[in-house]
Amino acid sequence: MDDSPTPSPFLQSFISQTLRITTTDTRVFVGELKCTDKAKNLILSRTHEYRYPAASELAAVVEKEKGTVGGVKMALKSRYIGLVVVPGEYVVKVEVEDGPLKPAERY
Amino acid sequence: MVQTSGNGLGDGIFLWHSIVNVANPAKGLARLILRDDDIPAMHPTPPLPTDSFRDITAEFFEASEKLNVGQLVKDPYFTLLQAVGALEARIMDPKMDSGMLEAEYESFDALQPRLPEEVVGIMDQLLSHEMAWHMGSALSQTLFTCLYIDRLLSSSPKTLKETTFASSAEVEADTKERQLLENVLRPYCLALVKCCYCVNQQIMMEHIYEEEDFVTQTYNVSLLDSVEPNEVLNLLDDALVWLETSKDLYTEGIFNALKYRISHRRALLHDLSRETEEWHTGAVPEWDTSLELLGKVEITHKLGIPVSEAFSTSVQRKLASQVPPRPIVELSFEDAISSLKKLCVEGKDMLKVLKYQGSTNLVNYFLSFMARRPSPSPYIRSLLQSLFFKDMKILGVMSVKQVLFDDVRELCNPVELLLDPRNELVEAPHDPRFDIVKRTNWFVERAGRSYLDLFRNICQNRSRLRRNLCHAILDWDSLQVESEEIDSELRELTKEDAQVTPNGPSYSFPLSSWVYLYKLRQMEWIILLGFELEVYQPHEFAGMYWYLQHYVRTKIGHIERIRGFAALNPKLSSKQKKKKVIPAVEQQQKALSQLTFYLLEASAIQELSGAMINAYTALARLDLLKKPPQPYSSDSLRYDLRMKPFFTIGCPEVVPFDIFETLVDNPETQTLELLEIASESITQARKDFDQLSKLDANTARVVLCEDAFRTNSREMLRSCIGLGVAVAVLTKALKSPGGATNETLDVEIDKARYHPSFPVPSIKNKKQTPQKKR
Repeated sequence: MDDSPTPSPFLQSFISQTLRITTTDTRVFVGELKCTDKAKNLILSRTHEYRYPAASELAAVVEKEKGTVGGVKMALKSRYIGLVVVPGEYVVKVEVEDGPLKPAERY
Repeated sequence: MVQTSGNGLGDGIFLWHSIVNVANPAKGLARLILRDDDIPAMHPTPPLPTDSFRDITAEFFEASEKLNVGQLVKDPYFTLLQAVGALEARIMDPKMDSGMLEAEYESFDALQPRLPEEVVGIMDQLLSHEMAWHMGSALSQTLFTCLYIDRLLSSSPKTLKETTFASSAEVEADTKERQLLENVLRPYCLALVKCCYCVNQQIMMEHIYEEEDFVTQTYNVSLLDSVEPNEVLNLLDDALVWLETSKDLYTEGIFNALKYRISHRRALLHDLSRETEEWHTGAVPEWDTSLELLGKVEITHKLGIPVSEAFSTSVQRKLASQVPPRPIVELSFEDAISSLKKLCVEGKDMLKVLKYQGSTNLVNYFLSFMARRPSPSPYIRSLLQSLFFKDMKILGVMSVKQVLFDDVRELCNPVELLLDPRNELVEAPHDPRFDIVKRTNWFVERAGRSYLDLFRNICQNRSRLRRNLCHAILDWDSLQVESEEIDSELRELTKEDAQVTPNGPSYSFPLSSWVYLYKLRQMEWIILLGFELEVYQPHEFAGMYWYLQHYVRTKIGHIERIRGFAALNPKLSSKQKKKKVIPAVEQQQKALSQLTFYLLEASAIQELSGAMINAYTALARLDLLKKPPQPYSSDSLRYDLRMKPFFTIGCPEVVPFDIFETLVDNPETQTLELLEIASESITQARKDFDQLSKLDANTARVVLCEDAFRTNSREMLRSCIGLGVAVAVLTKALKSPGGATNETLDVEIDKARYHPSFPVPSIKNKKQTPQKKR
């Protein structure tokens, strides 16, 4: 652990916060930010990956639910992937959770 | 002791996940696992949080731009080491991001018609995958790569009804091909998954080292956890009925091939799904049936046609795991069959322990069972632990006290008063028996733990066994000191008379004698395993055999002491002894015969290791052992390393290095003389081993493992003979005009043909005539 002052207090405020990252391939990653740099490379811990259903699956569900009023609902496919690096070049969107509690207090 | 394993450098640090076995809280074996892979079970994936997120893309990107190259914004508690761990999972990198895999499983049609030959082929491929998992590969690289299995499990079914090959959009069709898939392949797959469930449950129940032995990770996929084995067995019965009614559709060969596979799976699941308690209460195993059917599966293997497109690593895309995509593990069908056969044989064999034949026979069974080569599989090793000790009972019926006292009696034959069960009925506090019980109960509590650990250690893989023994001897060393105190107190209570010896009065110290013998045995095993596991290099052999001999000699002295005291109880005149068979006399005879056996065995090993010391010292002197360069080490540093586990042992002590060197090198003795002494020791060792191998199973206490005992004796004898030849060749060369040098002799260490702990130098004359030049 080093005590040197942070190069960016703004970015530092997101460290250990839960971020939701969307990548170029439309996947979504939700995890705690541990580290970032100039190239926007992000290290996330305790990450879950979410994936939109493929067109074929969607079509199957639509077919099955034919006749029901309104849109169909499908859960996103998700899995735990733990500690990952998301390279900056693939990051499309960065969102931060504005929960009532900071993540550190939740555990 | 804490085990951290594998590549969990990552945020495992936040998620220390301990799988300390609650039922067996043996402190020496508690497992702490530091791995992200184990996390999913604790972290069910929450649905994607949708609300309360604020888009900060623009500000975030802008602030990042302002950083200098190389500057990091990071959690102060996040270390470089962890960052390196994170690099294992780089998103969007096809080599590291399993999420990049094509979702081949989505387009897989599990109901596509298959030839019956192909169904046989798939079953055999599955069997290979199952055994690859048994042998230590991850499910993600074996069974889970099967797209049929994936289709059945991916909807997280809770009942058998929910397990289906059909995907939701499929139209119903009832062809014979489809029936074959649904009525035969599907039950087979489900039964196989249930088998895996049972195996995984068993392994997690006992001490087996994750990563080192076995991967219990299921990536949050349920292996039909909530389905009863009986339901699956019924499904297999239905499959057999369907096959019979559809007999006409197939050739006889294919029909049989399918039938054997289903029947075999049935027999296997039947035994794998047994609870330990069922074995304890005399359940009849079907291992033999499994084995017989497995032979038939093997013969009909050639009829099958493998279907490679039914297996794909793409399933790793959806498994909860941090590891990069990994290839399918290919285990040949032959290897799979032979390891499953071995499992059946050993599963049956270990049931022998349930027929208790005394503690020494039990210990010997464990030792010989685990010395099998190749080693028993993790499942088998785990099952043996459960059979031995579960719910505070040994073999399902005995208390630790019973077995422990048996062991002390079988070895030391102490005065009857000491371990008499009737003592416990005494309630008067002034009665000495009351105090005796207090102390022996302490001993049961304290030594019992070490004793159980000993069995559990023997069930670990060989390298782990050696490592655990290095820790265990410290425990036994302090146990010895504590027991000596108790012995002194007990001596007062039992009013033991001193034996007069030239060195003054002497007492029996039964409990600490027992502890000391076990400690010496374990020290001896550490050295023996060092050879077996090829820890020692040839140039260290002489020194390590010196220690083996040293410990065995100490053991001989100790056994003789025990024998002196064991012969004293009961105190009867020879006339009384002859009159009738008294249990106490029988007990004494048993202990004495056991001690005599131990003496013979120790003497044989002592002679053989003596011969080894001299032979390897001679080779070293003649510069015939290849000693690798050690630029950063020295003999003395290596000696410190080798003896490290023994340094803190009170007795016997480690010898200082300079003295050790002289003792091993024996510079006063000529090389030829060394070889002569070696040759004499070999003759003596051969005599001893010969005698040992002729003993009946009862005397050698190998009632449960006679074959292994015979094989071991044969291997020992072979090592004696091999060493005899080596010594003779070396002696002859030394006396010849050319001498014994690297020019005239080829020396290699032969590990394969001899006892694994007594490898023999194979010494050959180099051809003197010049070689043909090409």
